[in-house]
Amino acid sequence: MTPMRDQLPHRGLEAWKWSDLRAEVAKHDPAGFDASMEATVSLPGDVGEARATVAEPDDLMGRIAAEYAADSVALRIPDGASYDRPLELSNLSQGNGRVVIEVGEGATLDVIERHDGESGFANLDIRYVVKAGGTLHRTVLSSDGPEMIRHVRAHVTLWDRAGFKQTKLTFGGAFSRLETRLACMGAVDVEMSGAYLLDGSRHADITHYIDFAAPGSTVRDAVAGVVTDKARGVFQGKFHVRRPAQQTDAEMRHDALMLSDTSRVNAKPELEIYADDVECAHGNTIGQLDENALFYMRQRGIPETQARALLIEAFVAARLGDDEDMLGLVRDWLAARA
Amino acid sequence: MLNITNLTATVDDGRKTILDGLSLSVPAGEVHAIMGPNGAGKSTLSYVVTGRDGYDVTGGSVTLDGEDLLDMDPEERAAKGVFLSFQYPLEIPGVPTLTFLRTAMNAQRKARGEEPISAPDFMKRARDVAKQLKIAPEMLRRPLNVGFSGGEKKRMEIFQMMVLEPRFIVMDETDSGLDVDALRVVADGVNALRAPDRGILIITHYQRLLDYIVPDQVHVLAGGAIRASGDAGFAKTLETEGYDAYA
Repeated sequence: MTPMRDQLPHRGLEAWKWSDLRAEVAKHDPAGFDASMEATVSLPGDVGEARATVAEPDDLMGRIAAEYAADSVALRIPDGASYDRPLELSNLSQGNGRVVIEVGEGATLDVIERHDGESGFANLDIRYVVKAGGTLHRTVLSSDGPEMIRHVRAHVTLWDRAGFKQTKLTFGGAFSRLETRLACMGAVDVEMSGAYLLDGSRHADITHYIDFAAPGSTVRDAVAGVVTDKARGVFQGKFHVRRPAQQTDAEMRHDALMLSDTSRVNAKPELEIYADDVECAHGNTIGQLDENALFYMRQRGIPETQARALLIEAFVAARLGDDEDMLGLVRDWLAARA
Repeated sequence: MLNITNLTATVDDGRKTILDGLSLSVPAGEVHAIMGPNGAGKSTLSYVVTGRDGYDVTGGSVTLDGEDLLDMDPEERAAKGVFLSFQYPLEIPGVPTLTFLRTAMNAQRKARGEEPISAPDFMKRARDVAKQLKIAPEMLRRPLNVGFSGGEKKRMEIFQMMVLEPRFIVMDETDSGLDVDALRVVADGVNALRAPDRGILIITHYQRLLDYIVPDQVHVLAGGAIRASGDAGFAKTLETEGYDAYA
C-alpha cells in the first residue's frame, strides 16, 4: 500500500458513506492508480492556452491527481468564440489527469467527455471556468466495463450571466463517482440533468454540489436512475445558498426505479440556505415499474420485455432530452437485458 | 365465439372467491351486456378474460373460437384479437399515444406472422379514426393518457380499439366519466365496429350506455355467476327494479 492509498476517501466520511473508494481500490488493486492519464483532446477549432495555472487542489482526490498526473491539459476558449463541433476528451480510462478549460467572455463551448475503460483506475480533476456571458454545454458519457474504478470531479466556476448545461449518462462500474461542484459567482443559468442505468454489481454515484454566492441565479437539476440485479445507485445533491444569493431559484430532483429486490439506491438531497428571499425545492422518489401500466401495455399486445423497456426508456429519456447518442446507448443497455 | 364455461376464480390465495361457476357465450356478430351490483365480479371477469396477474383461475374454461385463452399471456390474447377497454385507463408517461399504438399494432402483427404496418398507412388510419371521434391531432402526440381527463381517457380507449380493430371487445364501465355528447360519439364508434365476425361484451353498472349501444342480450352478474338473462328491454327492467332479486 502506498501512502496515497491510505488517504483515499472511505465510508467513514459523510460525503463518501455510500461510495467507499478506499475499500474498492483495496479490493481490486486496479492498474493505473499511480499513473498519469494520457488523455486525448480533440479540439473544435483554434483555441488558446489557459492563462491560469492549475490551482492547488484543496481536496483529497485533487491532490492524488496532482501527485500522479505528469502534466495537465490547459485550454482557453477566446472571448466571443464559438464552434460548430464539440471539444472531445477521450482516452480517459487509466491513471490520474488534470484538465483546465476556460471559456472566455461571451464564448460558447460544447464539451464531450467519454469514458470507455475496461478495468483499472481513473481519476480526473477537471476545472471549468466560464467567464461573463459565456456558455458551456458539458456532456459526460460513461460506458465503462464492470471492473472499472472511476472518479471524476468537475469544478465549474460560473461568472456573471454565464450559462451551464450538463448532461451525464452513466452505466457505472466496479466504482464510479461523477461529481460536479458548481460555484455560481454571478447571476447564472444552469440546467443539469443525468441518468444512471446499473446492472450486475455495478455502482454509480452522482454527486452535485451547487454553491450560490451571488443573487439572481436559476438552477434546474434532475437525475433519474434505474438499478437492477445487485447494483447500487447513489445520488447526493446539495444547494448551498449564501447570504448574498437572494432571488435564487433552484430545483433539484432525483427519481429512481428499482427493478430487483437486491438492488440499492441511496439518495440525499440537501438544502442549506442563508438568504431569505429564495425559492429552493428538492424532490426524491424511489419506486418500481408500475405493474398496472405493464398489464395495460401487454393487453394492447406489447410483449412484457418490450413493455418494460419502453417504460424504462421513457423514464430516463425525460432526463436525456433528444440526444440520440445517449438514447442509443440506453436502448443498447435495455436490449442487452431483454 | 367467446365461450366461458363454469369459470371459478379466486384472489388472496384462494381465500376469496370472486367468480363462482360463471358460464357465458357470446356468438360472433352479437353484443352482450353484463350488468350487476358493485362487487358482483364484473371487473374481475374482464381481467380474467384478458389475463391480468393476481387472479387464480381454479376451474372452468375461457375459449375464443375454440382456443384456450387461459393458457395465454395477456399479449398473446391481444394478438388473438381480445381487447379490453379499461374502466380506469392507465397513464403511460413519456410514450406518445401514436408511438404506443403503433408499437402495439406491430407487436400484434408480428405475433400473428404479419408484416408491420407502414408509417403512412398507420398515420392515415389513426387520423381518420381521430377525426371520427373528434379527437384533436395534438392529443395523439402527447404521452398516452398523461394529464387527460376521465372522459378523454375513455375516448382514447375507443380510439385505440377502433384503430386496432380487435375481434373480441370487452368494455368495462366505458360510460363512466362521459357526458352525453361524448357518450354519443363513443357509441357511434362502437356501433360502427359491430360486424358479423366480431363479438362485444359490455360491462356496465348503469343502463344509460345501452340506450346508445343496443345489446342483443343482457345478463345479470351477481355473486360471481350469471343469474338471469334477457333481451335489450331487460336492462330497463333491471334499472328500475334493481338487483336485489338476484343477490
